[in-house]
Amino acid sequence: MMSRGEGGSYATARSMSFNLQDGPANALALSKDNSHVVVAGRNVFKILAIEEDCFVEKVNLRVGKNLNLNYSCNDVVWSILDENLIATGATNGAVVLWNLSKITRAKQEHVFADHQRTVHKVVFHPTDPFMLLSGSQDGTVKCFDLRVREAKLTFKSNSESVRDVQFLPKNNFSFTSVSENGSVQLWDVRKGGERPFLTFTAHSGPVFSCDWHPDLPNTLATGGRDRAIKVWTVTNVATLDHSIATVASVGRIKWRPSRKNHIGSTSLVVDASVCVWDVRRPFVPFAAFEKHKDVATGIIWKNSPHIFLSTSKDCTVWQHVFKDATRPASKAMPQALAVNVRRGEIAQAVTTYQSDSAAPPRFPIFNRKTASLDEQFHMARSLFFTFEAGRLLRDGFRVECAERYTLIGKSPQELCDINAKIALSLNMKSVALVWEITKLFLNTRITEPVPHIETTKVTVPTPNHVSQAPPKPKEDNEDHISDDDQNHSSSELESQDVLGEIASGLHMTQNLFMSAGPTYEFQINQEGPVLPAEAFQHRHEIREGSPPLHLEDCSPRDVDEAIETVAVENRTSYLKFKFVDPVPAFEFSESITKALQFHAKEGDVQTAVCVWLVLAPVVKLPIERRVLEAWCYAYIELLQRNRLYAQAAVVIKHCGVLGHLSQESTSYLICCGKCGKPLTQKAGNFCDKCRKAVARCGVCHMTVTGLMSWCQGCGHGGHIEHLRKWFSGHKECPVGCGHVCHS
Amino acid sequence: MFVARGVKTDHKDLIHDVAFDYYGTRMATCSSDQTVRVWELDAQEGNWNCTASWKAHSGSVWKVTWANPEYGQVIATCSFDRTAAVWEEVVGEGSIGDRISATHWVKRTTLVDSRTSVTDVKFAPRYLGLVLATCSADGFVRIYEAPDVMNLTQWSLQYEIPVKLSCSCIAWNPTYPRHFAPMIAVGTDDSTVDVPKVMIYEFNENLRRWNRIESLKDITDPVNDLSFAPNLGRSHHLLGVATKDLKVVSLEPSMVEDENQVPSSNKVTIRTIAQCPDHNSTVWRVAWNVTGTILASSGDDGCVRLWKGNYMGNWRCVSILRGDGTQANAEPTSAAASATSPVGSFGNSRFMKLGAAAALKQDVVWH
Repeated sequence: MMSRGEGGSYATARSMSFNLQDGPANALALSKDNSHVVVAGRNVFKILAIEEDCFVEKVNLRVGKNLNLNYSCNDVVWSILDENLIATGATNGAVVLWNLSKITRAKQEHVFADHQRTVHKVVFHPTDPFMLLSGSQDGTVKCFDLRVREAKLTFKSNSESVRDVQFLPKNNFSFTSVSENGSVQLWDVRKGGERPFLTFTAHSGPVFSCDWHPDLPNTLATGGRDRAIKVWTVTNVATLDHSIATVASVGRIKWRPSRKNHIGSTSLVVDASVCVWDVRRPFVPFAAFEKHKDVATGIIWKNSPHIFLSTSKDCTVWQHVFKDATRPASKAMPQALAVNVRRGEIAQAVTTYQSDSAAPPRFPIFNRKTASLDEQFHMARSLFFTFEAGRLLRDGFRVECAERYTLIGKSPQELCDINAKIALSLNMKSVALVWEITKLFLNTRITEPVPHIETTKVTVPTPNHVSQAPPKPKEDNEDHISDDDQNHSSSELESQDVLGEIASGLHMTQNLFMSAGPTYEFQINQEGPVLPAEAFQHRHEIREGSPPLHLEDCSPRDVDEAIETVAVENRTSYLKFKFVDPVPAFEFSESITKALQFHAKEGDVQTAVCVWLVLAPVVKLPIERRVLEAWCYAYIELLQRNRLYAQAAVVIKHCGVLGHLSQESTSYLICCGKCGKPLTQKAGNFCDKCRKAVARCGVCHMTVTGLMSWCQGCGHGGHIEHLRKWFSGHKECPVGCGHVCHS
Repeated sequence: MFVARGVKTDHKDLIHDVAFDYYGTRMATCSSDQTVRVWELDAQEGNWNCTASWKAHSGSVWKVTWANPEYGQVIATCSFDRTAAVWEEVVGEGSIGDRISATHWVKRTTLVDSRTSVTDVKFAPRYLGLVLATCSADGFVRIYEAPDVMNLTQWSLQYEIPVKLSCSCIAWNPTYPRHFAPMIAVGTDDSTVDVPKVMIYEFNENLRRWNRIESLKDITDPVNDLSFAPNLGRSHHLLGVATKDLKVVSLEPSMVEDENQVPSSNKVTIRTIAQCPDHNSTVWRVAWNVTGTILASSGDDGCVRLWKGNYMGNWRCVSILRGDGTQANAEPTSAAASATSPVGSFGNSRFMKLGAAAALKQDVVWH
């Protein structure tokens, strides 16, 4: 019978609502044939007809002038056997019987005024039309016989308040009650109001609702303020099968008909949605119905697993249809991904619907039938993988380099040399090449500060090939991801072309590259003879192990010119001359800059920053300050992330653009060594309390300005030199405090 | 060559997020089972060992994020239960016995301003101080600050930005700020046509407020994840967007070069520079490597794909990683991967058998 009705109504049923207007509703009940619903609340008590696409108000049971608290309902129930009989539990403790077959407008039939306090729940016996149970705030459950119109039995629970009562399905004489002290009690009606035959503690805190599974024997669900729905198997003892963790306190729960594992729930506070859970997946609702604007107070399934009604504090009644449900699980992020700064590691979590974690990740959702999806719902788990992607992700930063590079303390040429070797030993040939070229560049310059004897300003018609030639080689290998060694042959070749031009040994001052106009400044020095030798020497070094030098791109004329220049230089100690022809003045800083920019773009800020740092004392590369800051900042962060603090400090100190970083998060407090009183800024090193200057030398008793050394044990100290002398002959403190400072 | 390792997480429901700490030696995972787990790297073995696990929320925990270690061992979580929380690891004094229980995580604050699920939480870049951004399904981005970094219990809600669309993810621009104003990108999972899916907000120093400066009109599908690339001196920012497919968007601020003040680049030029439908399914997550040159994406096909832009600005898939241990190259011709991941098990980490899944379901199209 059920399945027939279910199929027919589900196809046509739709989500719909009715605004009660008079106030929030506390409970609802369906008539026997599911055609009508009675909605009850503090100020509302109506019967609505459930039409195809709307609710229609049929009867308003709140009639008459002097409405008393009997009309203020906490719960309502419609008799299963007599379709004219409705019972309500009122907030004043009355249990009221209503008879719809009455001809008068007031349908009130009888008032049972047995309870002292609010009645939370009323329920009809499933088979006995004359038996009615009520649970109340006064801690009792009363059983009424409708024929004699009085309470037949009183069951005294162990708590101050009974929140829910329900008969056991397919059992005519037992019922459960749940109470605010967290316990569930099972009673036998035949035994009268004596002790319950089973009591167990279900929740920490009040239990607000319970529901026996309509089909599964001995399966009871309870919901409590501890934000849990618990499913129990109750025989002689109660064993916990499942525990669902909800967002808020659980108000009402109701098993979904014809489903083994589904249960609907409402929240008492916070959460306005009605959730349907699969008890096997205790954390994510199977479906959620988010129509209400305030918390739902009552739910009832309309004899079908697909349709149910709910009332809410927002004064509405909704009919929910399952096809309109939201599926929280499908909205939840099914995957996680993170890239580790170390080791080139990636962590990934993917969803699977197989209990065996070795199974493959799930397939696209459209490949599966809905039924199987529902069936798999509770099996959702994440597989978690870590991938070591090694070189690929690490790209651009080498811890070994960072540890071994020397960036300060030697001449730039030496530094380049050292670092080139380090790079080469780590098989980073392209980086090594950058260092080599940088070194060559440095060698061609006059490194000692030379007084500008005289400069000649010459205007050169900007030759096209000069600006184009150098940067090209670097871009050739940009599309190769890994450090592919073969790619460098071409760049080496072209760099060597360039070396021919290096030989010209010209010092180009910075504004050569910065100035907009073609006004070039050249300066030629007396100590010329050193230069050509060095330049050529290194050219040979590079040539070893690399393809033979080829000078195709470099016109013979250019080379001649270069050599000529050198020759001229050799002969004359000082010379003024003018370029008549365009000379291939090679723009060193620019090409180095381009190389660094390329490396930075490829993620290799390490090379960019290190080369720049080495060059910084002698050359100012034309790099924007903004870019430089970004490089340094990124490199410092990389170093710090790899716990290379010393190296990071070197960069911070010497980069010159981020000096403030070392001044962050450092505060110091000075206090008097004698009395411990903090020194104010104003007083300087004079202690107000001792009326003395603080830093006094223990040997000469004069105030120490500048460097001071002191014993950490006794706090006395003084001029470093004085102390050194003192401690060469003594072990005790010079002040005479008796502390053995030098042990 | 890649080595894939399966890690038994013991999470009882889906894992929604994983985050590495600043140094990459610790990891945090969060799950629908309402717990957060913290993992420690075993430096010798390379395994991850769980050192802490606790119930963090009363709903699915969506995201977890680490604060800069400057502020201590601090993580933030956000949850379906409408709250975000800040947790700090404290060294227990006089703890009984074993080393593992010597530290534990204490909830320092609960941020309860949202009235719906808090979908993402992210700490701001270090230079902004201890600042936290959350976004929620009710369409607000909230920016909190702990004015006293020593007191993590005090957080003040600094800004509440109405996005007006259900937010799914948020990302800070990590670029060092001297020449850029602080910037965040917000993604929405709203599937309505004709509403922007990614919004860019920038902090205006003069007005002291966050302004929406742009929305990405090219993106028309719900957005699952966003990530800004670390900026290594580029003049433009790169934003990875996980939506129906993977997109890389370049944001080029029209900069006012002024040495003294941080220019508020009210205008950004937006260009979609890559659109990668290779996953052939929804892309869920994106993440950049530390130098911002490689983008990792994870899709519904279960693969992690690594992307790299070449000198032409073409983004290509350079590697595909699969949890079953196989690795395929970008070119299908060389798909015969030479991955030799060892089989075996020790500790709580398991090596995956190579090609186990492929053998199981050969007819399944993987991507």
